[in-house]
Amino acid sequence: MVHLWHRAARLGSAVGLAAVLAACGGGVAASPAPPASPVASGLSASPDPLSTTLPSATATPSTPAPSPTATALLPEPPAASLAGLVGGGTAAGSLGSFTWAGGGSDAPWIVGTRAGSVGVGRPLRLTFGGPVQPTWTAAWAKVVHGTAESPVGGAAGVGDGSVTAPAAGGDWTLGVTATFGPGANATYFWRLAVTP
Amino acid sequence: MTTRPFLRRLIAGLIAVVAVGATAGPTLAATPDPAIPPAWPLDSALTYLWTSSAVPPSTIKSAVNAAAADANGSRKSRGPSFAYSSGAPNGISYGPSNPCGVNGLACFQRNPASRYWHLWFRENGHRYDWGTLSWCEMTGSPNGCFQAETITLDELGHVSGLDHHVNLPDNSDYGDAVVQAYSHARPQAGWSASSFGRCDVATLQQAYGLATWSTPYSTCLDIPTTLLLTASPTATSTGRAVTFTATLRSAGAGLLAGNPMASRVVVLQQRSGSGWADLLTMPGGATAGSYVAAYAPKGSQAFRAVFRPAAEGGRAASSAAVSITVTCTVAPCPLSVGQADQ
Repeated sequence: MVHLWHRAARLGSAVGLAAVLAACGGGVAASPAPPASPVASGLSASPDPLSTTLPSATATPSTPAPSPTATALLPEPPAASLAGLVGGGTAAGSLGSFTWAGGGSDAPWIVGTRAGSVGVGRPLRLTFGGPVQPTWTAAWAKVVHGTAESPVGGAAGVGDGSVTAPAAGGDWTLGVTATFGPGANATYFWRLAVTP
Repeated sequence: MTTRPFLRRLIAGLIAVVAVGATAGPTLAATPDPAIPPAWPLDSALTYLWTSSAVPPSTIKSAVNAAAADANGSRKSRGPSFAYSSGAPNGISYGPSNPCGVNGLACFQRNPASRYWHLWFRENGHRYDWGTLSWCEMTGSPNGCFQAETITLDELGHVSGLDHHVNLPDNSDYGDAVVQAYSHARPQAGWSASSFGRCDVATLQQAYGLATWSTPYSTCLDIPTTLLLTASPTATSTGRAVTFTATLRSAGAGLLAGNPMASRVVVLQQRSGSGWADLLTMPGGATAGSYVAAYAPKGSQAFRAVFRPAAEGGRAASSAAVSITVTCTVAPCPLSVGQADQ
């Protein structure tokens, strides 16, 4: 299910990246249409966005919206994933706020469902989809009674990189803010059990 | 444009990480929000109406209208203004039919080239993986609710061309921007902001210039200034007034270059020993950015003007010295030039 969501995100990313690159090269092309999006790019047959009744967007990352609902979403940044979890698993990040291809969405620091566990102080491998490797910062926030405490800085980098799990065990969220270019950034979250 | 401040912050952050445990780390300064290109034409009046198929409840309508007023009142630039109009070409939608993605509270699209923009708001009570959406205006402001007015202001900032603020590693500058990557719920810091933060304003000023020549530069900016002092005449006789004219301009980049700076504090000083002493505050002149004062020197003397910024991002500046030669025509004449006015 997550894969479907990511496929939709990558589809939007391709469109979005083209718009971003166009913007980098001298601004958005003079078009009477709304910004690059599935609607504007012809990926769906939706009419003018003002008169479009968009299908309901589902609420949870675990139940991604299949096409055609996904094509009605704003174009989204590439997915990010985290490897090095206990058991060798990889977990996709939950997309929070972003700006991309002339659009964007705002969300809080997300404390979602647990993506896995990691030992204290263990390295985690962070990878980004798409052709553009972003600059990024990462911060950890401890989860207390289901709420994230104030995040503390953890790491920063360019492109795929690594972050280190907190030195204290417990319920934590990792938040990563990635910047792909002008008007193109994203936040991703993972909720992890950090075990001694 | 986006990456430069981010990289600067990134490098600063890395330095800070390295410096952990050291006796004193570097002091980091807030930076303007990154920009989303392209900008709108200057002074764009952007109107909106409620999408007929997704009309917000009255409390959200009020919040949106309040946020429009907040944006208009705090943009301090020639950035877009927002107003409701029944004939508006752009819309605001509320409800479950939205393109905001899995976790979005609200979202936007913009395209200045076609004068298109749109906002969408999730419906109150929407269930996310991480909780249930509560708009404060609709639920009596319990802890955990989101202020629709503040979230709208964030979205209008995006529509204006503001990208998410890059916070300091400790988030101590969260209050410097409304356009944030992490929306805060009550009672977190900034949950009920009703005006753009100084680093939002900074980017609006960079993109659109100042609202007026009297508008202060955002303190999130650090704009060099130039101050020129002229005098007429430069040679006079005792008791005759000299007219001093100071001209203050910005020396930033783009739309912040060469702007007259009006309604500032510019002080005329005279040489005093090896230093300078304040003589008078120069009133604004007929031309924006000019400051004019008449003064009758008692003897030959050097003068200069100084700009003293008050809570703004324009740097202090002083002019070059201007020498005035005074010929004594009325006894007793000063014994020594330079001591007469001390």
